[in-house]
Amino acid sequence: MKGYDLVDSVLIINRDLTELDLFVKDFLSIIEKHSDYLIVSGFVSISTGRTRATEDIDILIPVMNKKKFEILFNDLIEGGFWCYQGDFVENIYSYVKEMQNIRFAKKEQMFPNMEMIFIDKSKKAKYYEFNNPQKVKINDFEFKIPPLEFEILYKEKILTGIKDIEDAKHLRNMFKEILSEEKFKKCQIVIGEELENLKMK
Amino acid sequence: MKIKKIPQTNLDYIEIYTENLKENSEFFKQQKMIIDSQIKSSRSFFNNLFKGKDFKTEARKYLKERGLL
Repeated sequence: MKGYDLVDSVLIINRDLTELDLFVKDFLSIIEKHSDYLIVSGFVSISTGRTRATEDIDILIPVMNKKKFEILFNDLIEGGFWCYQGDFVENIYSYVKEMQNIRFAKKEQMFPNMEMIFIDKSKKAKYYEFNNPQKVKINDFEFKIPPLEFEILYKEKILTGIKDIEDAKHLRNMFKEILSEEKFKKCQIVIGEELENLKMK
Repeated sequence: MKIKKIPQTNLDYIEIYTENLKENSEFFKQQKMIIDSQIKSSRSFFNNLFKGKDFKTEARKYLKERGLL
């Protein structure tokens, strides 16, 4: 059997679920009840076959008001997760309000953890990928990642670490038959603007 | 396994691996073994490290000492 298929725009990865997938699946089953999301960075490469270690899975979440966050937070705690930053919504929401990342792991476990990255329209590159998701399916586990073209360029042009360049190489080669030049051009504009913004900071 | 050129860098190995993975999903089995093993080892390491103590308290102390919190 081939490593993957593209069926009705859904990327189907032909493999069994790993412990890492099950962790993410468990977390998303709670998140999906409360918010939209996008899984980004290392898990995109790993879920599509890159064999490397990771401690955290990055997830983009639109910033939310305190009431909504409190319900989500309590549901995560009831669902068997703990938050690195604290046990009380009062304290944790100050991170959310400031758009600082927070992390959750399974109770009595340290790694892996989910790193929640809060976004709004002001974070243009993240907002773009969030609004142009690519669906991935592994067995009965379905989740959303950025357009592959965006993820590749983001790793090559913005992150640029050794690990990121290797992840980008994996994605470029693994999916070269389905990558779109047109999408690369569109994503390049967004990435270019992001680079300019970073230079100005 | 198809090998068209002798790999010299990590990127060469990634290229060979993906070429094969695309054609044969059996290669995912190796990936699953490595990832599952990493998670089980990590779980075991921290359970032993914080044995008999409050996990969250010790975990936060551990993360702070390493500048991760």
